[in-house]
Amino acid sequence: MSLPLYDDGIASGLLCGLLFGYALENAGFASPRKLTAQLRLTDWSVFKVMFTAIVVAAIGLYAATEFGWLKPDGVYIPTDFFWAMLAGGALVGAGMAVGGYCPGTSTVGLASGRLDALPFMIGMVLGTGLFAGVFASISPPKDRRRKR
Amino acid sequence: MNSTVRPYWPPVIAGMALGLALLATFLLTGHGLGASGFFTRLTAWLGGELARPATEANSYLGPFLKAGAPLANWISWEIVGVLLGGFLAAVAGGRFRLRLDGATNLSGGGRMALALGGGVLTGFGARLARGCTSGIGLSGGAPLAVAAFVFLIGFFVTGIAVSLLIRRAWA
Repeated sequence: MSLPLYDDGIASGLLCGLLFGYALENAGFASPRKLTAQLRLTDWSVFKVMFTAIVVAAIGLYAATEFGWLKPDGVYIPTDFFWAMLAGGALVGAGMAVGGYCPGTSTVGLASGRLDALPFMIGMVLGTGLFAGVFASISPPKDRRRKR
Repeated sequence: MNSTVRPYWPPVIAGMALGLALLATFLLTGHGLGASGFFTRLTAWLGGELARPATEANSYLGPFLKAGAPLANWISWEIVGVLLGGFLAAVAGGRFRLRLDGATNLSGGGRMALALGGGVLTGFGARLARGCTSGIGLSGGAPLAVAAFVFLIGFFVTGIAVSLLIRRAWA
């Protein structure tokens, strides 16, 4: 019951990131040509790696809860805002098809010497700024919604 | 270039390593791995440096500035770790090389433009979904969140469709 440790310190961030980046690069996910080859359906590595990773982590979380090591409902679960998730996923998918990366893979791309990851990152900052610019007009008007 | 370039890990082995890294992150922190959250904080920080009043007044980025230093967060250290881990793996595998990769059928300028444009789509989309392939797809998938699978369906269906439309630039 003592897990998770809820450790959000510097060492925790560095360690988790190190394992993440090491696994991503060794999977070939720093290569935009390998990532987009999945989208062109000529190399199925990305599907296999992601599916295996989700299954391994899901079994691990389930087992840790069953054995009583992990507090039930102790981990973060994203809320499903259906249309926002679907449209957001679609834009991130289009972004990978056009630019060759997603946020995490552009980071290992840069770490492996790929300089085209830099304009992709600049683009992400611009896209985030664009979203912030329209956020007030696309977020649900909480005050008005239930007034009736 | 040289004969010491090692192949990538087989997909199932790489997937197991990635899954164990994700599991360790959940047990240590109570949440999964991420990436786009760092770029959101970077945008808030840059906005604060370049146009503080406008950024503070913005309903999305403003709260990051009001809470203090936007980059002082676990996700920033995680991204530093990702850079280190990616670099170490690339060097160990003989795969580190400074280069312009991407849509190799295009000129350098064309490739940079596609990367920039793809980044804009990704930055906007990741905010709409409140996360990216790592933060929602992988980290939501592990606790079997519906959101993750909705995201991944949108991601792959659109990614494949757009990829087929522009395949001449890439393949």
